[in-house]
Amino acid sequence: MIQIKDLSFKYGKKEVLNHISMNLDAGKIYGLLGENGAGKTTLLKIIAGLQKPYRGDCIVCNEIPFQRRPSFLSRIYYLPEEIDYIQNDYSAFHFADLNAPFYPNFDWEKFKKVLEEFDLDGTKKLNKLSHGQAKKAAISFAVAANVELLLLDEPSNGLDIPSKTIFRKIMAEYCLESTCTLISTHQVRDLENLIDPIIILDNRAVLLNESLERISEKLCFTLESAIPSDALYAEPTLGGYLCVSRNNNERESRVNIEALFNATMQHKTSIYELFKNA
Amino acid sequence: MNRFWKLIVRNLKSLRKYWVQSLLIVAGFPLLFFMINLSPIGMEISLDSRTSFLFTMVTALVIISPFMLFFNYNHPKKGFTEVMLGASVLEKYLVMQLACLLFTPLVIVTVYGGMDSLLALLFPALYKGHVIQQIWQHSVDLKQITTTLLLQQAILFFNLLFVRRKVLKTVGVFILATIAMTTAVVVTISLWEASGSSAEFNNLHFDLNERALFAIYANDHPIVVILQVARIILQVILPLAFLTGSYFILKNKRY
Repeated sequence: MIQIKDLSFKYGKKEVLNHISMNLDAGKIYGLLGENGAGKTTLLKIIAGLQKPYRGDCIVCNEIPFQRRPSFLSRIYYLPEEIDYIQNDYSAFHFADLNAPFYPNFDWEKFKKVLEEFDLDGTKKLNKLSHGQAKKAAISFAVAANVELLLLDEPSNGLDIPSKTIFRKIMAEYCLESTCTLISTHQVRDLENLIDPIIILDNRAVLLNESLERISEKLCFTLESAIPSDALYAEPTLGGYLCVSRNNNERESRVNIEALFNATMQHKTSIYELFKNA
Repeated sequence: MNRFWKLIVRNLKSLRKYWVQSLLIVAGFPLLFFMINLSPIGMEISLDSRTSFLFTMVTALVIISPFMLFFNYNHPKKGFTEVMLGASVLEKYLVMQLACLLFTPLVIVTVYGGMDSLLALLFPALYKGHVIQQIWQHSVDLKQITTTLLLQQAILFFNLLFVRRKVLKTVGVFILATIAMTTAVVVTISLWEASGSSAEFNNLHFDLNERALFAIYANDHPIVVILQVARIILQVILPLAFLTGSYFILKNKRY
């Protein structure tokens, strides 16, 4: 679905992405993690065709995104973090009425159902809604568009706690099985049990692009009373320390994405090498 | 074609509220003139005045229509929906041109003319003649049309070029361009006079309207050549530059 090879991007003289390579497949919900300024939003924009790479290749749905051909644009949907574009003087239904004709697989029934799930009145003017409510309307449209590639930038930002749960449910229930979804987020706890594989991005490299299964094969997430000597990362938690260490004994453990992220940030080279050599 | 039509429909629908508000204002002018005719001061707005007003209004609104209709098109946060719509850049560009060049004048003439005719039919003694009939007899100056189109294309171009404070920047560019052109004319004439050819200059008879646009001859006076070149720049090169420039900005805009 997405092939990125040696991609570099600059804002003026500042290099944001440097020789990034990765492949993303259809039918998966990728979680894109990275520190502030790592280039997550820029990467999403390049994939969506809103920015042009300075060097390297980005092929999405067999097309070059920046050419913005109708055949490409009708197959993808990009939901930015800030949703000023939707907060206009018309309702969610009117917004859908305007834009749905450009998405051949748009499903009105699904749109209404998702709005209902979010307990959102589709007839209310979008500029009269709160930021969170407008975001729910934007998510509803994005899901109902039934596109091949769905790019979501910090979708859970601005949602209240019950809405975050509903968001996870909607993504699991309403997204097409064939859709490739790429979700950029800082709030990994909001998306736990939803995203798999995990991509951890750094300006200089994709540090990790692995499924949860592969991560748990290579890394072990355990609760210990004291920090083991071989721990890559440890953080104090209720009842001891949450530790991330190499899984040398083929132990089964549940991946804690936040701990994984912190471990990767502290041991970039070791984690990169661990999965690269595997 | 189907996609292009969808884009036109979307454009009309998305600007529905703007159209309704603007057209209410446009329709209000004939009513205002009718009220003036009714007033005891004895003043009457004639058919000629009403027709001239329509032409002035159409000219002004056509010129500023890119600002009114597509102000947020290149806004980094508000404008990206338009860019992400599944239509080609050319289709989006043509819809923009159609909205500014065709829909705007057509709708204004229809609404203003419709209201004017309605009042003329209901109160023939107080409100004489129909603007709609009169406009066909009103001579339209070709130079005025080309100037209007040049200004409109310039505004469309600057509307897409500038992202923030675009009205202020566009006005600034127009002021600078006027200053530059005036300076160029004054300097050219001063240099010509200083070279001792003022008598020759004073005897120069030249009517721009009689000359074809690209007619420059070997025996032409240098001032005539300069004026002809200026005409070509203003009437051909600049409109073409704005037309193609707007398209390429749209095509290569990054968000």
